[in-house]
Amino acid sequence: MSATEPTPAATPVPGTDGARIGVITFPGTLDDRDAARAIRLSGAEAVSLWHADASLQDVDAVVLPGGFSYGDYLRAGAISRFAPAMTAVVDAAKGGMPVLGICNGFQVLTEAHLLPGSMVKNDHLHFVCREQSMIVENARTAWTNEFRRGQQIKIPLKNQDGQFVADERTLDELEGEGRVVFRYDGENPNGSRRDIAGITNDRGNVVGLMPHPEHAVEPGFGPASAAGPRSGVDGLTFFTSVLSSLVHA
Amino acid sequence: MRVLSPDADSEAPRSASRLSPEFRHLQGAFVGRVVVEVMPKPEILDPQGKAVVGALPRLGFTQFSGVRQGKRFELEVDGEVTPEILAAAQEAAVTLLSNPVIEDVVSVAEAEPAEVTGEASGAPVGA
Repeated sequence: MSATEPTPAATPVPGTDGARIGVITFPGTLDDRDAARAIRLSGAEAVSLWHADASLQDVDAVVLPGGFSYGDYLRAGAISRFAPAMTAVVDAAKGGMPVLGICNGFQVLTEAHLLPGSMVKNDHLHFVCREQSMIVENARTAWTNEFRRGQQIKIPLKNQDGQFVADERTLDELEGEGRVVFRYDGENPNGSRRDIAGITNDRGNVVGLMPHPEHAVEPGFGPASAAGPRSGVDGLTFFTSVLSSLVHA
Repeated sequence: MRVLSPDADSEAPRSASRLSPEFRHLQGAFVGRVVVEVMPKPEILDPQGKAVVGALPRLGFTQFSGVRQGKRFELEVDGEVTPEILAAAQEAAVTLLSNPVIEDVVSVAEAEPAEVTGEASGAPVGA
């Protein structure tokens, strides 16, 4: 990292030199460059991956970024699920590779059955864009191990189809197994069942959430925090967490 | 004796029975169609249907107490709809066209030709 780049708020994770994290671009993806920048700010190398390429280029982890892949035609994430890169992601995720799905990426993960439930239109039918407070409920996943349980964090939320739904049995399972990773704090922004903002698989390597950590990674461009306007960098901890989990894997 | 008509000497096919195979895709009757209908599961609140039912009374339609909005897909095939085609459509319906977590496939059926070729005897309502 050059001296002119903003210093990440978190201490760089020792031993993570050379960690490579892939970011998949689908037709209609919007936030791939922001995700790549967040990865670089955390100290890792960002590797661009293309949806039509079946190779993940030996990356150590993968981010499915936000956007409107395939225009959200059919259902959000439904067509992307069948991209060649996703076949590789499903295999790698089952082998334990860390995978983070953000917003549309979360929708792709549910369509690919790596995570349970689904997303439907926000209950109020409006697009929502705001700085969103969440409570960290599980600080043991590959992407959240540098948070602490019960910690309140704030990152941007922006979506139309953000209402997390699943049947009661699935919701009870998620709660019982500690797989609810984030819960909305304060007013529920989209009608998600049980205020769920993000979940994980049973192994803790696959995490999906609707809000956008990659938009809260450097001072001057994030949400408001106690340090002042636009100073929030809570999103960076997702990316330093995964580096930490790669070191200790 | 043939009755002459303005285009009697044209090479254009005049009826389905005289179409050579390579032109049959131009004739509506030879395009088979399977209609797949998908609806949100009853236990899933349907925000779109909720918005529509809210709009109806504003236009004076006070008779309707609920609306659920689903999707209709028309799958085209070259030729007839065989049992194998219907089976494939059923498979596509449950893998891609619907998400079983939030939706039910309520119907997979061959379409009546008049239903989709635009050559129906009755004009569309409201046309």
